[in-house]
Amino acid sequence: MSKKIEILNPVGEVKVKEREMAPRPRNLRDLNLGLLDNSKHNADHFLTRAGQRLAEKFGLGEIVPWKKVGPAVPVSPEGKKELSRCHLLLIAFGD
Amino acid sequence: MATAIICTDEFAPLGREEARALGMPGLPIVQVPHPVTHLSKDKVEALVESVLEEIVHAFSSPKEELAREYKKRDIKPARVFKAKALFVSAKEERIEVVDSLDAINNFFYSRGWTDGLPIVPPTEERVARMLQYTDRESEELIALIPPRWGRGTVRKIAINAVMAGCLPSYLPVILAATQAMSEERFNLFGVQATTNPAAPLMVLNGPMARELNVNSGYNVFGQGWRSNATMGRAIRLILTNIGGGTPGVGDRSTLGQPGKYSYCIAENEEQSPWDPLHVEKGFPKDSSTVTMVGAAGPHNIISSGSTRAEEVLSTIAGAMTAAGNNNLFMGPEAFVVLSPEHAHLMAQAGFSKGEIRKFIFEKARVGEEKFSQGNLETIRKWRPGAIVVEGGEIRVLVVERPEDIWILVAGGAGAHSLFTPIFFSKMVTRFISLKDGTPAKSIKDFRSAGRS
Repeated sequence: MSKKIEILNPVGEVKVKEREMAPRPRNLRDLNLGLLDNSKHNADHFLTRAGQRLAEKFGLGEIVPWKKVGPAVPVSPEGKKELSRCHLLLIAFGD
Repeated sequence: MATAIICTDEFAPLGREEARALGMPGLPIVQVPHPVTHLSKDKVEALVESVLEEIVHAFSSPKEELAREYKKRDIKPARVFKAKALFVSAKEERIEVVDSLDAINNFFYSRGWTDGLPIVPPTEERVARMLQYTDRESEELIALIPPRWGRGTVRKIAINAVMAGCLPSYLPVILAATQAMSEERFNLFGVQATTNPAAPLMVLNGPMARELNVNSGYNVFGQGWRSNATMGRAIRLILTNIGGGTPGVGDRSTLGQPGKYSYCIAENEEQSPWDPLHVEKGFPKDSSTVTMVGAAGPHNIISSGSTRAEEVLSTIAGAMTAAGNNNLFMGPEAFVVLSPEHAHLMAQAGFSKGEIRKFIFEKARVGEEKFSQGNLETIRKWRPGAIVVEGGEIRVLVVERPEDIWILVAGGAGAHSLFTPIFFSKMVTRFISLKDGTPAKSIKDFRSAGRS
């Protein structure tokens, strides 16, 4: 039988506290929809169109678009404040 | 608020890991084919129609049902790419492997824990020797490393430093570098997860750079010095194994670059005619610091035949305006490395670093004819302050202010300089210090302060 050696695991532990998703509404009517644009090309077209179609179907409240200043940077505090008045949030992620 | 993520399928593994790290593995990720960026407006609208029902489902179905459904969904990108094993549980603190270098390396490689090169097996004994060079407790948390937000404890950092081949005396630098990367303005999440070829560039200044024999001369960005090679490598292994920067998953770099193996230099302070980088940043000259910034690959600049400083500087400014470079689209800072010969030519002509910055700033601007309309729209979104009008013509600035150009002197003999575009990241400089923040005067301070 081959001799064994103990080596240490280099992987960092992820301590995750599982969180519950926000409850979903029964009805989308009059709800405010946030559109978080990651500023990649076409994210704005996609989100705007999705917002328009959802508004047509359900009679949403306010549509609140927010574009990040760049794709690889976090949402600014101003963006978070602006989007906080939404009930629904659609986020564009990736290319 | 009820959230749904529209995610191109290539990025869905990253999206899923982010959702997991945030405690919501069942967050609805509505996948669309990658890429969306190249589609016409009509095709984008058709894409919206194709997923509209799923968006409505994500917004209006009971959250428990959504969580079960999206947690179970098999997220695979549409195209096959070479992906290593994903984030294996960190719960196994110790692993038993057949005691042979080949077996250990095969094991680590198959788990995706390496950079592709053989590693030094991180035994308890080697890690304990590494930990002698810190006065911090081994379970002290230095930083959470994105995009996986793994816990970068002193011990885990030491394990990865051993694997990289670091000497124990390098540990204080690695710890300070990890702290620097975790500062918000470094933008570690962006640097890790971008499609751009961003890598943390490490610059050492001060007496400790010399004590640790960090190369600042010939071939400074290349191979040959253990300190440069292994400290830079340790950073990469930390980002992979603690942060989850696995290529194609957490690390989305389309092409990568060689600096992702190791990207560590020291400034050639002895041959610089000016104050070094850390002094410009407000640190005492006799202090030892580490500076980190997310950078693309270095771009060599030659100006053969130039005999005047202005000629060389014009060439440098010209190189910085190369179409498609990261600074034009992203910035915010630019990084210029002057060889000692170029530095002395400029100093003898009376240029201070401030005057060099001003010269480059004035020259490093690109006419709109070099860009497509789409390019200019993107730059307007990402760097609105970088578009100016001069003489009725639109120009894009490489940097928005002269002080955004950082200059240091490095390298050996030879008339070369280089420009390293920066990617959505700002330089962070920190003391290499003891736990209480006291800047260390020598690497020996850690040995005496550490545990015996």
